[in-house]
Amino acid sequence: MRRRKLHTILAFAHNQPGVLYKLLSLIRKKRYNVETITVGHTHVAGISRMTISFSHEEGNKFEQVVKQIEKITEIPKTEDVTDADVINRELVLLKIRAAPQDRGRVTATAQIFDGKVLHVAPAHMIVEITEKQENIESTIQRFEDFGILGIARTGATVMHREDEEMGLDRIVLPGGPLNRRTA
Amino acid sequence: MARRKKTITGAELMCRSLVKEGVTYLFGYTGGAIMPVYDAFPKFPRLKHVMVRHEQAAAFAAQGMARATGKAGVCIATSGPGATNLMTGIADAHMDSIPLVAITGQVATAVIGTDAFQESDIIGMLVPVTKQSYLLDDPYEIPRIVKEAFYLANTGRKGPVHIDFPKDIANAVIPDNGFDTTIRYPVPAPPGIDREQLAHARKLMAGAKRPIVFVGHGVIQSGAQGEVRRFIDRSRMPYSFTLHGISALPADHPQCLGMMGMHGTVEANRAIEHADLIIALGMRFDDRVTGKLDEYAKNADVIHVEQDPSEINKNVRATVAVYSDLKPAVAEMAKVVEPKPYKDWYAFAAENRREWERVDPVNRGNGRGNSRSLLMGSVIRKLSDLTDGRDNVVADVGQHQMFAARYYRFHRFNTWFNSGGLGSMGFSVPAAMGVKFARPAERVWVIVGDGSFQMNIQELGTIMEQRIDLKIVLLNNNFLGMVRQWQDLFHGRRFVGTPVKNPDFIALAGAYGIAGERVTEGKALVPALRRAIRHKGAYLLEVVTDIEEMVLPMIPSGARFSDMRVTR
Repeated sequence: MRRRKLHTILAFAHNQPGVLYKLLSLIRKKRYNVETITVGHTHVAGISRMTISFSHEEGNKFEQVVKQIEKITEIPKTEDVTDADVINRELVLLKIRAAPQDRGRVTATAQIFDGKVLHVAPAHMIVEITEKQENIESTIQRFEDFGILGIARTGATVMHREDEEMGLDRIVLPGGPLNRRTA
Repeated sequence: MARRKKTITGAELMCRSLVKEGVTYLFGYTGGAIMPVYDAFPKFPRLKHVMVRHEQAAAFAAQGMARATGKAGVCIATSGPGATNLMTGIADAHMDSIPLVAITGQVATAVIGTDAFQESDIIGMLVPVTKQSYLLDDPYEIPRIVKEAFYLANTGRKGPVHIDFPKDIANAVIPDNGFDTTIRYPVPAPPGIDREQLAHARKLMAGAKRPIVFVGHGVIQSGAQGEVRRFIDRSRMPYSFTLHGISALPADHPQCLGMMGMHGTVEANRAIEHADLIIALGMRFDDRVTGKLDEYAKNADVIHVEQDPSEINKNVRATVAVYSDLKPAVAEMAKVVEPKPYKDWYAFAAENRREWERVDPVNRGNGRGNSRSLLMGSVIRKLSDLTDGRDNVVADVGQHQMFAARYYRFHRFNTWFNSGGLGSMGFSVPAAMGVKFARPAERVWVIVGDGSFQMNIQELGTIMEQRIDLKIVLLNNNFLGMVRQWQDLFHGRRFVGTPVKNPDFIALAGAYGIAGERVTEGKALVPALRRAIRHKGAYLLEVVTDIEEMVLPMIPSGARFSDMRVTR
């Protein structure tokens, strides 16, 4: 199977009301083809990590996407990490048709992908797999022979293997010096 | 008795913060949710409120102030319909990068989201057309947010910022003892032109035989006219304006080819078609500038200097993409450019100019069209001659706008105002009010069509009340002329929705106490213009113009420069 090339943007945002709305408004206005968006806290209080993956945005257009997102006031740092040295992971839950005699084979298939069986019902199982986003579809295909009853994907999140530039010099968080949350 | 602690209301704090930002004029309209702020105005005599007759006009008037001063203009309205009425003016400012701070009242925080009376989700509506939009839900944040709003509006690529101000926050009473005013979002400074880019630019400029410099709105906005002028003088390259670049440099200059694009001059557009180098300064290659993108300036290298990186390589690929403020980059480029006479290149431009002058309808038939009525182009040319190109001109949107851009010979910096990006009819009258408040000692002309005049005609009330001395030239062909032109050229002359049954404009102005007259004859025009100039106070000069007149040349929408129509 030919893997679809996904482009990924990593952005750090000041966690203010309406920031996500602004991002979505931009995406709608410019008609970007968004695949997934994930947003969550970082180790810096008040700063969120946003990972946005896109399909079919070619050359010029993708360069524009990054520049446009970077114009959002509360987003101090936006970066195209498609070919960067990052860890990219997406979690998927698969509900798979599995009669009792199939359970062994489903479990074995899940294990190939370091997956976990989360739930076993009389006629189906739920498997959790975490993968690099662009591999997820081919992984899902491995289960198609059993019959897939449902898919729940979280969208990718990425992290740089080494130091991460969060744009903290381009933003002043309330309450004086940065309030680092202890892990 | 214990001494009472000094307190201040949210509304007073808002007013004080505006005063701190140097605001004098606010254009607005009161209403339920914004009343507390209006109530505080008398305590701040520095703030002069100009009551308009429709909130859209408040936004345009604030724009006029901003365009004339370069600093954010302020408009203010109540919640709900007051706020939504501001939207067109705010969207217009966003498209044209005009700094604006728009303040809207909002229902009390306790009822936001309950569909309260005159509640609207104005932030939700304004996000796509503002640089930033705040819900001011904490009275202690008022000084900080107002300061940041002005900072963001005025910094980097300028634009509108909106503050939504709930009534209970305006009414809140808090101790007045110092507030945090930290700017949370400092705008990054562009890196400027680097050595490699400069060397590349130098090489391209040294090799160019057919260069052209594009003077965009950015030249006016960044005040880089001195640097650009030096570059032009030193390089001896020809230059052309975008619609908004007009008046950045003088129009009467041997190197000036006039405006570019859809209704640009023959010499500018032919030069662009054949150029081998384009030096684009502070502009964004809008579709009205480029026509069909794949065919645009195919043989030219492009040096693009822009302070908004998202505009670089957006529509046109730059050979040298310089993310920089104009002033330092152009100053550097001026140092390395070698002057050349470009003799053949100027000869080519002159030949194209002569071709146009031979067919320009304004040069024939005493400035009258086939119907024997006056041509808009000739009215503007007369006005330009009479004022020596030295007055402020505020145009509306339509044929008259293009004629004003083409036939008024602007001599003074930043004296040309119009809605370019959004193309909002109804812009001129209220925007001119703002320009006049900013430049009370200067003459301000409104050039408006019969369609656009009626889109904010209620502002004659404001003009009357505030005694605003505007000279309004109404070019009346009883048609929506620009759309009619497209219907004529591209829609088989089916004039649907474009004929206008007009009122007696002079009588209407008279009802507002505004003097005026109607001109139908060519020989009456100049004396009438003189009377308008001499008259103390606002004056409406209605000129009946030729219905068949077209703005030419024209590059049809989405067509190539080689498809330019010079005659019908």
